Amino acid sequence: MPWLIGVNSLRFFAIVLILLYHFFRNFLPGGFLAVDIFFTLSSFLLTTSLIRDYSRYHRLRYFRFLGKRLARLWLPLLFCVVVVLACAFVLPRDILVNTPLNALYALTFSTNIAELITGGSYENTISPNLFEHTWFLALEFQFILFAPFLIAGFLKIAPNYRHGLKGLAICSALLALLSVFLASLHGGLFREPDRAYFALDTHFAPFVVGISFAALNALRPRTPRTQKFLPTLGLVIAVVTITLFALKTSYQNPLTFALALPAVSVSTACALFCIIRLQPNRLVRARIPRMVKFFDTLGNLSFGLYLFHWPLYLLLPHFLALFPDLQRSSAAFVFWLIPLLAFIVSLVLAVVLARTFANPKFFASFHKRPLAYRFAFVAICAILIVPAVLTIVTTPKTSSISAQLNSSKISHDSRTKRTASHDTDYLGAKAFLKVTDTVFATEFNKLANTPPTQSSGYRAADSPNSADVLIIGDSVTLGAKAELESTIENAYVDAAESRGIEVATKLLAGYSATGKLPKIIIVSLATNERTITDALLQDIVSVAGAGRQLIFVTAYAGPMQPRDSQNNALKSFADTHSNVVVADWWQVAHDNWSLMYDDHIHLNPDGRRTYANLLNNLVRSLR
Amino acid sequence: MTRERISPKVFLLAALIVLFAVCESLSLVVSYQKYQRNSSFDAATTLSTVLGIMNSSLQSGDLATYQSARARFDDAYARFRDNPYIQRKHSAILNSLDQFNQTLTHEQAFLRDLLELRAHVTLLDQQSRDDFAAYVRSLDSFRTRLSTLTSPQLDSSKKHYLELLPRLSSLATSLLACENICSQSVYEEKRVAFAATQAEFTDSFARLESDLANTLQLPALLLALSDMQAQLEES
Repeated sequence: MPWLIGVNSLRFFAIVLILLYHFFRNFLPGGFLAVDIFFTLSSFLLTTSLIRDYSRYHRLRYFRFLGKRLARLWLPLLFCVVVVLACAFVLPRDILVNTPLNALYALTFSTNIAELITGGSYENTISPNLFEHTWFLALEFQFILFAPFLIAGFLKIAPNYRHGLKGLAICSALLALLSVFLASLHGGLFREPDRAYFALDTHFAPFVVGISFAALNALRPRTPRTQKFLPTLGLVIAVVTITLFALKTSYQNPLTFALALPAVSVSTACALFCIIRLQPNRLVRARIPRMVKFFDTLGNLSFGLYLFHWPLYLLLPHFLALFPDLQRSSAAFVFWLIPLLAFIVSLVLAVVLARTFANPKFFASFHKRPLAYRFAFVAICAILIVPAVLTIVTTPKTSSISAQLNSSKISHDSRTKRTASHDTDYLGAKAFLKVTDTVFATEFNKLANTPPTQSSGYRAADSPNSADVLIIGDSVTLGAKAELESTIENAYVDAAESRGIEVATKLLAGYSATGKLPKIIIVSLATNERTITDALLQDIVSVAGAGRQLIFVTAYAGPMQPRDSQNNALKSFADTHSNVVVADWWQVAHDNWSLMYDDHIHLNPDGRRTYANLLNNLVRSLR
Repeated sequence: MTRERISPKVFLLAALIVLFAVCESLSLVVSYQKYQRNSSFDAATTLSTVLGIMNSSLQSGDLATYQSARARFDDAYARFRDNPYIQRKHSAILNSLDQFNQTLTHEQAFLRDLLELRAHVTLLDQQSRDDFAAYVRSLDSFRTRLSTLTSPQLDSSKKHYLELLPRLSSLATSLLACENICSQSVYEEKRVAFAATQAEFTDSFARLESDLANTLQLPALLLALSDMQAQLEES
């Protein structure tokens, strides 16, 4: 099809929104909406191509169409997977757990299905998915499988070509409404945004909007360009609308699926309409404004930028960790440095991709290139494949962080069972002992292999009733459980993975019901929390009751996941409440990555001791 | 009139549409059930927070906190009670909560009065034993408050206290009068008698509060809610 000037600029706009969303989520909470721009554009272009092909050959050339699309998507994806795996070869294996499987999902266009089944998310920090973003390609490919039948079906059964196009436009619009309705139910009413966002049945609205618009555009006779003002105004309005939605919407907002996503698709269709109206009558490249040419060139790299930015963004902090001097840099410097580096390297790789694997003519004319060039290309590919394969082979099935957390969990579970055993009958007690014997044996072996800590060696309290200090925490605390219990006198640790701060009120209410709560309560639950409100903290203090001292621990979740707003909320709350103090873990951790594992969140043995000492000093000052 | 045969392609299309509709309906049913479970968990968390605040404010006699939690209770309870998943799966706890709600409504005035009295008792406890002038003033204030109480539940306790308070008041007054003129041994004797009556007073009040806690069964409810939340988390 003829080149549409400005379409790639729209792509560039979309990729900017996506990059801003992934790099600075607080700044642009609705940047994820921009994927629908890609979907609508892609669908419009492939429908236009299919309609032209059908009108020329009077039949659907499905496998030819599918092969072409597959080549355009799969080869760049393969290049991305190989490059990322090769880069990851030098990194610690902990962060690469599940990466081979995720690479397989990416290459088979099934990432979205896998994420729906396994419940994965962009925010998994223990074993991040380097190919999470390929759900986008998976969804597009799944749609491409079905779309030709829909398009060709209408053109075939209609009495004539125009009727077919009209039917296709109307049916696509109705399908878009159906998809929005289903997405609103799942994402809005039933509060399952992942289900609505990752599944094809609830996210095909932008595709069918693209089809509908392509059908309408094919019906419209070509008229010479008469004016520029109105289309330009329409284009600006569409872009501003999308930007406003991106600034104001969030993933959890129930209206996102009923309003924001459809609005972005419709705005993209409007923008496309304006771009088509703005096309010059005769395609003369010299007449194209320089700015449009510039953005079109950048937009041509959007696919490569999309493919590489996410894995690089995840991997770069681990590369930087190899340079100890950088760790001592300010948090703000690292915060800006990583997105900047991720963007620059992605841009370079996108240029390479656009000139090679994403260029359909590259392989067709490959044999005509000089021998040295061909040799160099094959050699570089081979050099990349070797470390990529080695990364796959050497990646373990579970990370040491998970193993360490599981070990703490076993210890925690076993003690919970031990306290519960008072109420069990004889047979229950026998069964219980059978289970706990195994648990204790495992636990003992693990403890025997654990290096001794520089602790005071206190014995942990058997229950919160007999404890002087109750520590409620998430996986960070769970990992440091042994050190906390042996460093802080008569402390009881209640910690579990993936806890948010709202769980504190529930737990404190439960402990309060069983008897007396300890006088000192430590709450370390800010790591997994996006927002912490005064009302929530007030509830925690109220459930704890008068006369109890609360210690809120600030969070550190790595350089790329700042917890400033959460930590500030804790500090300002403590300033206004005499019975609340803050243990500033962030202050200790943010410039001392050697205390943490490779995820920069969970604590290694040194970190666990430091963490326990920090809390112990505070507890002693309160006693 | 001839009967047209249905084309296999149309048949296939119809079959696909029916299949899509069935799968989508099933998916919606599953999502709805999941949503009900999640919202029941949210409702239980909110309710247990509110009950937890009521429990601790009752224990510490923090009237202002209790009243703000009490104001939130009705809404949290309505949300919990109206959840279809809880109605279906956790009818036992719902019955306990219904009972609790009735008791709470019935004893609302009683609780408020009790907490106000507790504030007075706390004030009494905080008075310096040697500052008998302030102590006697607090006792008088407590007696005035007690005599204006309207709760029928407090009638028997009220009688007991109204008998006890003048005794306590006269002992404090005589101690106050004796402070500067009596010998040390007489003063100490009076002081011991006063301390015993004061202890009797505090014990009686604690018993009253304990009876109240048993009537409301708040800790038991909190534990049941906690168990329910654990079950919801597992499912």
